[in-house]
Amino acid sequence: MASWGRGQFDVLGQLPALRRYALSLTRNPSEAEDLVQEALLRALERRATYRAGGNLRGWLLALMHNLFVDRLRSRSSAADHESEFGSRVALTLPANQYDTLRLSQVRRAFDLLPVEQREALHLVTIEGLSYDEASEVLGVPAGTVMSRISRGREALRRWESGPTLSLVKENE
Amino acid sequence: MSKGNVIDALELVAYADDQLEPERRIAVEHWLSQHPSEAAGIMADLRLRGELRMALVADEVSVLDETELLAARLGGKLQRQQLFRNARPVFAACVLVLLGWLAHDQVGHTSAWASSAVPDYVSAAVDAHHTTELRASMTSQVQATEYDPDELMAGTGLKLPQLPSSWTVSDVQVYPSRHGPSVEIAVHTTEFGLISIFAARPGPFLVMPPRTRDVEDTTTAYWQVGDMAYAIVATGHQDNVGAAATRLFELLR
Repeated sequence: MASWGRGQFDVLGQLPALRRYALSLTRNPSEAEDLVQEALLRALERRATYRAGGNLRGWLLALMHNLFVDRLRSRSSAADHESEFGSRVALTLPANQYDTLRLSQVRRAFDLLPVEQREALHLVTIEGLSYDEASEVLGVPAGTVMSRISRGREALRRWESGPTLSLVKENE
Repeated sequence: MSKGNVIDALELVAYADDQLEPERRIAVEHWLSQHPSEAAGIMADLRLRGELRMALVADEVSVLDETELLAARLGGKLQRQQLFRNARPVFAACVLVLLGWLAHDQVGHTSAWASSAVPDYVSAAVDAHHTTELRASMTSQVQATEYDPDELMAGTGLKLPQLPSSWTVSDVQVYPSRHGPSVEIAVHTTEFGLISIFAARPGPFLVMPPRTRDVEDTTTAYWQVGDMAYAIVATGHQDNVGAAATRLFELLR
């Protein structure tokens, strides 16, 4: 008989990954928590769509992703959201030994990437999803995921090599 | 130039994401060792990746308790959904067996209902019922009349019903059994007379609605919900015992 272990449906254990992804999408801590809650509600409504033995994390990330895309569409325009973010000042400084200023700058540069690049980079390089898994979450072919990651990296490299840095400072 | 030496731009992306087959990985590393500026670019990517991971892990989302509750609820619902999906074939099999028995019954071979065919926990329930009768007839035996389902749940892990207020408990006993403790409650009921309610964990997982059977000099009704099994033992008519079982089956749902 199959095991009935709690671990099989450890949604609580997925919360950190969901919150991280929500934060990368919304770039706003309280909006991120809202998005996570909405995603969980939607998951409750659509739990019948969860396949037995499926990937719980992938399923939840995909639900949340689609929810976020719907939200963006329902706003007057995505551009409003982008400019709204530009005026946001506060950024939590991570408390660890590493150069916290550098980390917050990297974080800011990441947040300034277009959302398509941000989500692809987030899922693959931060959450460690395979290209196929990320392609399922995002609903685009794996090749598209790769090219978005590639463009995101190029943008980050350009930022690193100079001019963007001053732009980031102006915003602060 | 051999194919192994041609490095695709996408392969460099996959290299930085750690998603290359070992063979291609080695080919990329060989190529990078001969192309210092591209290698430096990859190292910069890896550094940024590490920094992003640190930055995002340290980031604090405004955590709300409701989110945790929702997550726990979803986990529970998915778990139950899975249990239900897994139990469905078992339940269907039970229905088929039951239909088989009924068809058999129609033809008139009721003698095929051997009392030895009841599950072990039903035999244990009948034994417990007889022990309780014996205890009731002995003045030296103290009867435990306090019935607290929550306390019994905490002590034995067995889920027991809240009884209708018109029913009086005359004895509660905990017995050892193969899969942990079992509980027997002796109850005086207005509708069904004196009955014993028995709860145990029989081992296998099953969903089975109440069925009645005469065992020894008693009439029993028993059913199973998941890993919990219940039996009612009484001396009344099968219909009455069956009605009491249906009532409890509903109360326990």
